[in-house]
Amino acid sequence: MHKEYFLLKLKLGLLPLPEEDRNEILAEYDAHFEFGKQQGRTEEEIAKELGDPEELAVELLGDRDEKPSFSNGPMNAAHMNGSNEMPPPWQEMNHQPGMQHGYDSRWDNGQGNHSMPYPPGPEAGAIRSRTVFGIIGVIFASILIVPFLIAGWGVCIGIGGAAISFLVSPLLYVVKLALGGVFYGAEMSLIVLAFGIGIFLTQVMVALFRNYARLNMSYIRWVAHVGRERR
Amino acid sequence: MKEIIQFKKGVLGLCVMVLINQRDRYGFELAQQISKHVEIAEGALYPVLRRMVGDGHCTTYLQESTEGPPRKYYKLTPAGKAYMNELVSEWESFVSGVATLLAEAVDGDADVSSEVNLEANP
Repeated sequence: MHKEYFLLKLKLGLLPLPEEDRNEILAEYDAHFEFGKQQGRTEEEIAKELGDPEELAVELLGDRDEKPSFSNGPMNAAHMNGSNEMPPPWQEMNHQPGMQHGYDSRWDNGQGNHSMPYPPGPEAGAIRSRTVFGIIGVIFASILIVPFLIAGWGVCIGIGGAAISFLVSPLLYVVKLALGGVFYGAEMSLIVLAFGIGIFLTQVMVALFRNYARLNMSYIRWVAHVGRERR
Repeated sequence: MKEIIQFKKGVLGLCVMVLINQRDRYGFELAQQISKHVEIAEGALYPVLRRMVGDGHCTTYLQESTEGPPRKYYKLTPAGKAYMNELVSEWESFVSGVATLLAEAVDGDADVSSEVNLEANP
């Protein structure tokens, strides 16, 4: 996994966070990549050592649950307390925006408490980030697939139109003759040939339509399924 | 597998605090120090650091470096130091407790008397 991909996945997972917090976290992981590269490691290696960005995002979202306290047992015990301990939002105003050395306001001065007023809790965060990924995946896949599906229908309609015009060509020829057109033997045989091709195309069309409709249905079913599964 | 991840994660904060207590360190350095001894997903370090900052156990400051991005150093606060001492003693009693439990379980496998003994003095 490349750095950009890792950071993108992390960013998507952190969407529930305020932008400032998110950028701050991303800057830290970004720096980690840079330090690693200085030591001659590849982006893939570093990303592998860092772990799964989606899980990290869940972990980072889980942080928002905790209010600052100086001793609440072992560190991970804080994970257990659910959202029932949430302080009201107006008690969480001791946030100080980062003002640092002009590098990048993404860094924080380390004193701010970034608790969010209404955290969903770690579990809800996990489910939500999966949902976001699922939906984003579907959207990207659809951007790719839907134009092809539409193009396919265009081809079907085109062949269908050709088949119909071939089929009706003898009729139109008769009309032309009735309106006083001159009869040519060559033209007549061409019309007969066109009619034959029309019959052939009709059969092709029926098979094509049936299979293509099935393909489209399976796509629609997939989209619907992803939506349902993730909810 | 879940247990392994959980207890590694649980002790990560302790490792970080002890290392920062020695001297101020930045995230990447911490990751390297820890992964030298403990196999862990290094990325998990940053949520821990963030939580420690949020809890007031440490503060951060930036230091420019000649090469690469500026380093964000973590510094233990007095409250953090007190908490670290608490964690260390907690950890030691925890480890010796688990070690005793394991030893007894190996000794008296399915021995009822040892289980009673264990419950008597936890």
